Amino acid sequence: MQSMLLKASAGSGKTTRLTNEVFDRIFIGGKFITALTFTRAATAEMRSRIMEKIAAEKEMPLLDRLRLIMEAGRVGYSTIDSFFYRLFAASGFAPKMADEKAQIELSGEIERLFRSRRAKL
Amino acid sequence: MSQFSDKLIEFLSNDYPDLSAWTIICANNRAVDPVQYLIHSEIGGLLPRVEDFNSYITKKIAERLNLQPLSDDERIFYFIRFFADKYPDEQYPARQAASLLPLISKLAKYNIGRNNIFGAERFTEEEWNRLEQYLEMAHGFRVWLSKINFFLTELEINLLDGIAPGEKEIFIGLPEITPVIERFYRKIEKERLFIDKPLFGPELSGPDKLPFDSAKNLALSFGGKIKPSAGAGLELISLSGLPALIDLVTLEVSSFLKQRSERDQLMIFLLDESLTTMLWNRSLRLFGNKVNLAVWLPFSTTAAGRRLLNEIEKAQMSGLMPDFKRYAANCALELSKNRENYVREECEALEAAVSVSTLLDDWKERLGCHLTEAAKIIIEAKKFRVTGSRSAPIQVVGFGHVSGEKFSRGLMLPLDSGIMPTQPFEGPFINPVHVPQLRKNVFEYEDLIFRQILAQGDRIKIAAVTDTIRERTPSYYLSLLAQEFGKPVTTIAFKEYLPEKQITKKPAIPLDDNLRARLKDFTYSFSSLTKILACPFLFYHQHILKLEPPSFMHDDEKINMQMGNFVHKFLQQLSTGGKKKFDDWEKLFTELWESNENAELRNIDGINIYKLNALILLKEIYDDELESGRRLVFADNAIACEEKFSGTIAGSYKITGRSDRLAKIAGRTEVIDFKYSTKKDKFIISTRTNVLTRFQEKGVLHPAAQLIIYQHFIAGLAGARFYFLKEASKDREIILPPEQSAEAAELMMAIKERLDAIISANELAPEYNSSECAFCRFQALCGREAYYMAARGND
Repeated sequence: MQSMLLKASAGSGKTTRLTNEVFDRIFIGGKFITALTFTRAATAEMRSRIMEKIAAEKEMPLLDRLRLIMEAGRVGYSTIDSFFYRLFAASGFAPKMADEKAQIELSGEIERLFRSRRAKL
Repeated sequence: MSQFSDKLIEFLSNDYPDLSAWTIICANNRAVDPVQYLIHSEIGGLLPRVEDFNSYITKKIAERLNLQPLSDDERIFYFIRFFADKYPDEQYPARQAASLLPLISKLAKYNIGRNNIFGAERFTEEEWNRLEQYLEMAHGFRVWLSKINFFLTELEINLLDGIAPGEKEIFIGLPEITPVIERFYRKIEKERLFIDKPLFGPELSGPDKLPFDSAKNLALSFGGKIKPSAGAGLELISLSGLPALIDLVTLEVSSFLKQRSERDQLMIFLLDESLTTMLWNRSLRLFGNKVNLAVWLPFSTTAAGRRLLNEIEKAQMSGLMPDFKRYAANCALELSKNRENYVREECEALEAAVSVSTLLDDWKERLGCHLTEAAKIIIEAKKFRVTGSRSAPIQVVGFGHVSGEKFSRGLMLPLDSGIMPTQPFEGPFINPVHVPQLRKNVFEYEDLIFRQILAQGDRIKIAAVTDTIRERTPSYYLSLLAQEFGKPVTTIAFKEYLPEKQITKKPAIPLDDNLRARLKDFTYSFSSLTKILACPFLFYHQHILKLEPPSFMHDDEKINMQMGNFVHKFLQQLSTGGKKKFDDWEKLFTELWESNENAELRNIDGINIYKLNALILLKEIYDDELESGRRLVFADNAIACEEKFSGTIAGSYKITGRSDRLAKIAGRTEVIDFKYSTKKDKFIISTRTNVLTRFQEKGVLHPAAQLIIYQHFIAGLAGARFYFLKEASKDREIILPPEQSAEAAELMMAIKERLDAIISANELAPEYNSSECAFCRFQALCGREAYYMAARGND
């Protein structure tokens, strides 16, 4: 698959381009697509834009449009943070909200690191 | 009447009046009651057994194994015991067990093992090892349970292969189709398997299967049929913002209650259980007995649940075992005394509290040191139902509710991404990419339920939420329905309700001669002067009544202020300590930090990070001065530190203060005022800024007035400047332009005139237009409408 770097200013159409890329890939039957953005707003925007794009394909037979919607529904839209969280989660390394005990242990560890750094200074 | 009722009655009628040999197995437990009711009302006689599929297979497996099934509540306790025995080095066995039990159950349910991992070439060695470990764990748990005469249904599900459906058994609906369940359902004779027809759009109603995952494919593969429809009764809605759900539900319920005929029912299907409490408290409970809330409420959010958690935490802190028996008795007592006074959900929550605490008391010896953690887990997971009438006009039910009964109006919400269809796995431990069959099965099952519901209702509204802040967007399933039925998605935004402004007199302090005299005789500091000019009402409370502001300040801001005071003290000692101190400033800092007088600050929890920050800032300043050769802070320039000055403002009002440092700079005596902050915009003195004019026109005293006051009242000063210790750039100073200080006398006169006007008025009133008003901590007293801004922003 060809890699592409797209640098442009705000509002110039980067998300639109990404949406089109996703559309093209699901159109040719691409699987396991992940579309990552920096913000939640852009993620939500992309989700709705791709649905609008499919809905706008009035010439396309209904079954094809529905197939595309099903494929688009499987695309992993997410922010970069959330993508990596899920990646770690799937590998069993997901950070969990520290409970009280874990918080005490973490604080102790931070204090220890801090002191050792201070000693080095 | 349901789609299958005629056929079912016809089947059973042959054996009337003794139907006890028959068993009716409903795929979903929510269908059990309606089916029982149907048989009772249509035929009567000796009724057949009606049960859900889970209890059916559990019973069959129990017969086969001759073991007892684990109850839903106790399974986690048994697993914790097993897990703690098997992995004695595990630090948090209870928590770990709670996240692993659903995982190993799902692995067993779907027969996931080495041989059916998709894309196995991408599975890492570590992932293989982990999978082996979980499978081994599941096997170990089965063996462990069997030794104590128990079994867990999910782990023994493969035994279904050896079980055949009986001749007097009728199956209603399809459950989630796992490989072994599929094999079992294929053994059922077609005439004894009733599948409600799911609703499909006209173009999808042909005889062929669809080219994507679909309930149609699932239903057809088991000999079922579909119901074609143009979707005339369907309405698709997109709501703006999550709170709009409350408005929509309230609107729908109230309009339905006004219009309904006698036996009409509105079914509300809640697709997101986490919203139950919000919708119940803010909308549905207001309709009283007209609503039957047949969904589950989380126990941990109720008063009884929170009290139980509190008991556990209290006992944990004192190192004792929680007394669950006493708590259960207290709840029972409270319930018996107040059953008539409490609302329904409080009573049900107390009943749940009695059952949970009795269970925990029963298990306390067996769980030993894991009791507290296990108790917290079970309380978090515990749900309860508010029982109401099935004939109530509004029925609020969960997504699994497919009873087969018809209804006139329905509302399904919220159809958001990730809620419907659900994610088959949200982690941890296994990637759904490797088990695609699981996603297909879950989707087809949910699609079937959804479309069966659509087929049962005359008019159904389906609502999704668009709420960027809460990361909610309509599910792609909404787009699927819109395309399939050719329906538009209507966007609805409810107007926010804003209370009308109350026209009430604002509080003010009456000014009598006594108070006037005190204000005239008051010795002002720059800070108190700023206060009285900005808001006389605030000044009165803070400087005359000496009220402490409420503890509102963010901890970070408070500690930052204390750290600022310390740095000021350090700079004072630094400048009076002689030249040799400058290059050894860190030692001085440490000495001062370790000194007895600094004990209070030093002992603040988490202060070390603030201290480290201060050290870094000072080091940067030190290095910059060393590099540039221009020394101002680490300099032998101090003539005096914390020098007190006093005077009168235009000969009328006393003023006093202390300057941070009087320094000799380029041969002139100047005052340096250190600020433990960045160089904020409000301090900037641009060429257009005129402190005097601004005060005269807007009544706002620019921070630079502080420098003007220093220069005006301290004799022999040739200049004044602010120095911002936290400024990231090297440009840390703001110097008072000479033309500003030249107008000092006029500024003093203007201040005097303003003070005269304030003091001669009848009252000290709040000044809501002041720029500081939004951040003031006395707003509870002055009655400002938009209560408290969140924060001043971090430095």
